[in-house]
Amino acid sequence: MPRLCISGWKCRRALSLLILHDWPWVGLTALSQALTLSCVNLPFLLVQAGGNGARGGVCLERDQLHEAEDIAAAMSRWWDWPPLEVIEEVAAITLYPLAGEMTLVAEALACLAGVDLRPLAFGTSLASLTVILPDSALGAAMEAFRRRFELPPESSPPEERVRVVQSPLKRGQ
Amino acid sequence: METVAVYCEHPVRTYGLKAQEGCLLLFLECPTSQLGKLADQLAALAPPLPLVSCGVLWRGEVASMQVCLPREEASRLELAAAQAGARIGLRREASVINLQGPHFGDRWGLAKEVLAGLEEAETAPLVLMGVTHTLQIALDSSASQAALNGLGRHFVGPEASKRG
Repeated sequence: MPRLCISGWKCRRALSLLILHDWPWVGLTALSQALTLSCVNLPFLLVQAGGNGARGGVCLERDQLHEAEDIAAAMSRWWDWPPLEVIEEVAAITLYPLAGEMTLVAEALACLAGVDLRPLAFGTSLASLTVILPDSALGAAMEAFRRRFELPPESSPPEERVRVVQSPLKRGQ
Repeated sequence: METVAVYCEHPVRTYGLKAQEGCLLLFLECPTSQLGKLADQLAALAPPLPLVSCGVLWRGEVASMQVCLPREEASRLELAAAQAGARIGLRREASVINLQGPHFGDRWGLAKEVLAGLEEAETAPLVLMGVTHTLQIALDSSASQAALNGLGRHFVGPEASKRG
């Protein structure tokens, strides 16, 4: 079977995942406000509406996990929202281009299922897809993707190293 | 290589603020043991199935998959889902709003701006995703204008940026 050509991939480690079950949307709004006050970035977010509220996964950098977990747990207790699930060590693999088609999504999901890997979350952007999986599964997933996809020569997934500093004040204030 | 960028934007600048209409949003509940079969079928579709967005959450033995695609293509997805034993939990006419901007995947506070804008518009999304540099909101198509109005208080597209 010919391998699907992709343009590239990236991986990102040192992430954690908070999983929310049946929180109201106002709860998610409140959590996002609290995390913003603590300058917690969310590199990946997937929340689906469900019968009993919102459910989903929120990724953050691992060195901010305990602060975020404390905030979310306090909100959960105070408002009596279902407790969070926390997965401390997760990684993200991003493949591109999506090209506005289902093909890359389907190939990636089939690839992971074919080696019995069960990710935690998966989502698309306009141009790419990202899969979140336990850090311990990263090597196996990368190996499976290497076999499944035709990568540009000499490519290996570069680890993303981006740090963005945001000022709370406008320039000149 | 490390990139350091500084942002302080109120409202947040985006490359555009508009809704993609004419979509159908399907929530599929697929046994994890069957997800590979469903994916194989979708990968084999010719011509390929156009896609607006897709997300999956794994919960125990079930994968909760949401797929948003042009309405007229939905029957092909539904057929593949039925053949793989996936159950369709929700099927809704939907609009999708994509928010993109520089370093959107690396800046804190953007999800808060989206959720605040939607709350002010008194609407809740069906799906909210933040993946790499895109924030994506799928919502009932009847709510898209209200959502754009609410989001417009927190995000600004290039035309409004020039005017401002």
